[in-house]
Amino acid sequence: MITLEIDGKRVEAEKGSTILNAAQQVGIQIPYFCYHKEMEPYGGCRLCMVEVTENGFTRLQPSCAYPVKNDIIVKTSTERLIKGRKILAELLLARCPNIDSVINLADSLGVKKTRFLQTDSDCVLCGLCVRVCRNVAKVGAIDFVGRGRNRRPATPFDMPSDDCIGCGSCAYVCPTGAMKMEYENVLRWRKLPGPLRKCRYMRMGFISHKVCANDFQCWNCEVDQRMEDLSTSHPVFMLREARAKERERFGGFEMLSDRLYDEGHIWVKRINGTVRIGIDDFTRQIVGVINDIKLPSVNSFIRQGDPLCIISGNEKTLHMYAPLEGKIVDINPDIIDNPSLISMAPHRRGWILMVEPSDIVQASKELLSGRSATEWMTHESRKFYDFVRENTEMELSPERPIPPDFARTLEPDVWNKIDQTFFMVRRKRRVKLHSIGQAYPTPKKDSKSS
Amino acid sequence: MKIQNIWDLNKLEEKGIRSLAPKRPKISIGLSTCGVSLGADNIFEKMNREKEKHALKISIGQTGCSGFCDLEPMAIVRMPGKPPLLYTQMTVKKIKQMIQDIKRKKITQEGLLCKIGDPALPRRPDPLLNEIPDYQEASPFKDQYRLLLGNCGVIDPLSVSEYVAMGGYSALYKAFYQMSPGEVVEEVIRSGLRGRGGAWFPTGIKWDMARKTTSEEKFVICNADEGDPGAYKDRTIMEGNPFKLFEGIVLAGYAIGSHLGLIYLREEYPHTYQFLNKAIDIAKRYGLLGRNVLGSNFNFTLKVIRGGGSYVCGEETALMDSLEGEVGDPRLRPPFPIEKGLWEQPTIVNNVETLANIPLIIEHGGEWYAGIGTEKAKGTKIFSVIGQVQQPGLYEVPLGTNLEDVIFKMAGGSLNGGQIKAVQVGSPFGSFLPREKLDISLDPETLRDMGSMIGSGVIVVLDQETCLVDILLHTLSFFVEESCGKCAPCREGVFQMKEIMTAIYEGRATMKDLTDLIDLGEMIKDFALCALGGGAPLIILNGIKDFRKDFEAHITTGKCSWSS
Repeated sequence: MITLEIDGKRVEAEKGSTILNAAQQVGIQIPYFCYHKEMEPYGGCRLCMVEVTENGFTRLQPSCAYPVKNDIIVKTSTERLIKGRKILAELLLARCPNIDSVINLADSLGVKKTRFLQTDSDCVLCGLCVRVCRNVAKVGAIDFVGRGRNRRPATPFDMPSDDCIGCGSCAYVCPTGAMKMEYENVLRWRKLPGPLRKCRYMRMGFISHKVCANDFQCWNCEVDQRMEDLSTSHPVFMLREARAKERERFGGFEMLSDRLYDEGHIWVKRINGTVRIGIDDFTRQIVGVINDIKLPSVNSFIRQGDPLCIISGNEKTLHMYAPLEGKIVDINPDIIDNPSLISMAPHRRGWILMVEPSDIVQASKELLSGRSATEWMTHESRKFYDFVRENTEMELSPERPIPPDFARTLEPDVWNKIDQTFFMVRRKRRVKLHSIGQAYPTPKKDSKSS
Repeated sequence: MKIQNIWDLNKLEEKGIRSLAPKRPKISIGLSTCGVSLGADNIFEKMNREKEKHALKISIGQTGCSGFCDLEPMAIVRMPGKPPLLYTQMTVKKIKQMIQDIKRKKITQEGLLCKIGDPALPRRPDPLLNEIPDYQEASPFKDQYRLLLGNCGVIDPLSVSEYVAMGGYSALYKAFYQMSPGEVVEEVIRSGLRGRGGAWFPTGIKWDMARKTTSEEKFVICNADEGDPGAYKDRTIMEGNPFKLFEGIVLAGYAIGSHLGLIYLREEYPHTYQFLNKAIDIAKRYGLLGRNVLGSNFNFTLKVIRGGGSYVCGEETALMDSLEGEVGDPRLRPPFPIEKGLWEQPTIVNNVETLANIPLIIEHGGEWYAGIGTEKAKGTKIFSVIGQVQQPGLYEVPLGTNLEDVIFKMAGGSLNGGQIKAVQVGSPFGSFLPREKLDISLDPETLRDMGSMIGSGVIVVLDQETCLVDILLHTLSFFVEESCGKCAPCREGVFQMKEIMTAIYEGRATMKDLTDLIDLGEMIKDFALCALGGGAPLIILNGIKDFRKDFEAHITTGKCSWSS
């Protein structure tokens, strides 16, 4: 718990909360327009500014975003703030003189009329619609277009967006009613043939498969009513919990739910007919910063269990083995320039190869996914920490990441043991062993075509 | 061709010296953006054709801009046994004459500015050359302390060997083989270098914080989104000496433990974009970027990414939004970029000029660097003097130099001999200083105490015949145009300020409007989200204080004596 002072009161707040949260707890009212309790702070309306005194310096900070800290003194209604807020309210009133929520807000600050040039707009540019679409629904069908006063939320080129899932959360959060539900999209969907009429809860990701039989009249739909009952606000805000599971750590190592894992600590991601291959978090944490990689050439053919790449870092070398059979169609050009990229982002920008598998269905069956993958990783993690405890004097725990120079401190024989226990799984299983020199036999038909 | 060790570097240095003091005459033309726009590419082409036609025994090269774009196209003539000679405002006709003279071993006098006694080369005395002024004494370069710009416009910017001959890459070598990343950061802290982009934050402290973060991934971003009206120092460095910048970026990456550098280049510099990409390819070929830089086990990738033409993207958080592919809006802080920057990873953002200073600091030591400048602001600063002065251009002087010296002694004073009315230091945010207030030292503290800021160092000089209300209205229109629209004070407030200013300019306003203007300005200054919004009202507030007469004249009579 953190104690701070707001308007002369001692306030206790949780670590990570904001000044606005803390003030609301004790009943101190701070005006705001662009803040929403379910979303990341935006800091655009600047109405919630407060005076924060920290280490002897007093500065104005947006209370919706400023984190609580020990022993800071916050003042929410000094003369400077009240005067500034009044002018701000006048400015907003000058922009939207006919919007009720703006008039009410100005009224609560004691502003009845504005002295500035008036325009008639119905959007205060709080950015809630854009943020809910991008950050909560994770769709990003609308964004801001234009700069300054010409800024407005819109779809690309003002055309009905194919990305829009019709969840209606943008219209739900809009405080002024400027954002209209995209009926054009709904009308388009009504013209679609049956199987393509996806339910909006399917588009949002709550239901794996449901086709609308109601002609997109959600107010007549049982599923919609059930979802509305479950959620206290808009159903889209329930998505966050569901998504937190997407990128989780198991036994201290990160795993992504959209990847398949191989027991040789390699991930595989299916992209149309090809697969993308990279090393997993386990390898990265153990090797540390990778400063060299040796790879087979593009268009060469690899079999399951063939050496796939040789990575080295921290003065140690590690062979990785191919999880499936196929033709190498591409190599990440960035890692050739800079192998350290692999260790920087092993799951994303540090991917290694693209392979066109001979039998993608068979290969996917052999790889681990979902529950079996997480169980395997938890098991590997336990095995690894036991191994470290037995063979070295280091004290590691799954709660903390492995130190970056872990591999450097190991004796060569310990390193070899790690290599054998954790990374040579695939190689052992294969009957035919290749040494590196003859590792990549290229079939003759391939060399002709290239 | 990869440089792996000190012997390779020495070999390259010898090659560079041979190319800087060639055995056959060599003419280098300034082929940077400003030179090309004044027809240098045409001259270059014609020269090559002439050379082929007559089978001339001269070599033709290129060089960058020295910071005085109105003197372009420049040419440097290197004849064996003589110091290089610098010629200005070349034309095809003049070049043809020059080639004739070189054949007869004569020195062309037309357009000759100075001789360059090269610091890396032994001086060769020649009685014929005595009356030609030296580089240090010739008019625009006089009294300057050209630490960063010294090689710009002298060496071939795309030649690694010439840069190495001028002392390049010795700092990187020293850092890799004799210093740990921590020591590099300490050296930068000791130098007292502060960010040259406008905020003047201590660079070493920023790096130290970034180095101490434990993260999978860190980024170095070089901010080359040089949007301040009238600023072109970054372009001059990038086009005049790109490898110095690359060396600085790699040093920054080594110091904080990052393996990826990004140069965020302004959209309006298409020539620079192609040029930098060419330079990166060359650096990769020499093993100065990419895998195993300089033979060490440090890898570093550098990429150039072009902006989309928005001024606010020069602000570091908006810049990162833009790099991520979003609309460039300034972010809230905290979290600061050192904690959560690009793709939520620790990121340092440094200006081109800041990073170009790093090789000097590592090579000569932080204490040497701390000896230049004032007590709180160390080193030299490039000021771009524009407006109604005799010789506009880039003037690199130690911080703490008197403003009057820069304007009157170096830039030659007002253009038509008229009185100087106002000077804006740190355009566009810095306020206009009246003639009486010009006797000040140029450093961030002095200007901050005056309620202004030094910014990125653009000095705009206005003479007696300018109307301040007109100029302020113009600057305000710039802010309205460039406001991103995220926060209400900047979007609505600055727009309303412009409306009131227009009313004042057109003579429709009353004195009450002036107080409204001040009220608005005070609010925006406190409430705005980023430096663009917070800085915008400063010029108006200070302008009303210092040039109230102009405002009152507009309000009472409807016009001032200079407005047309």
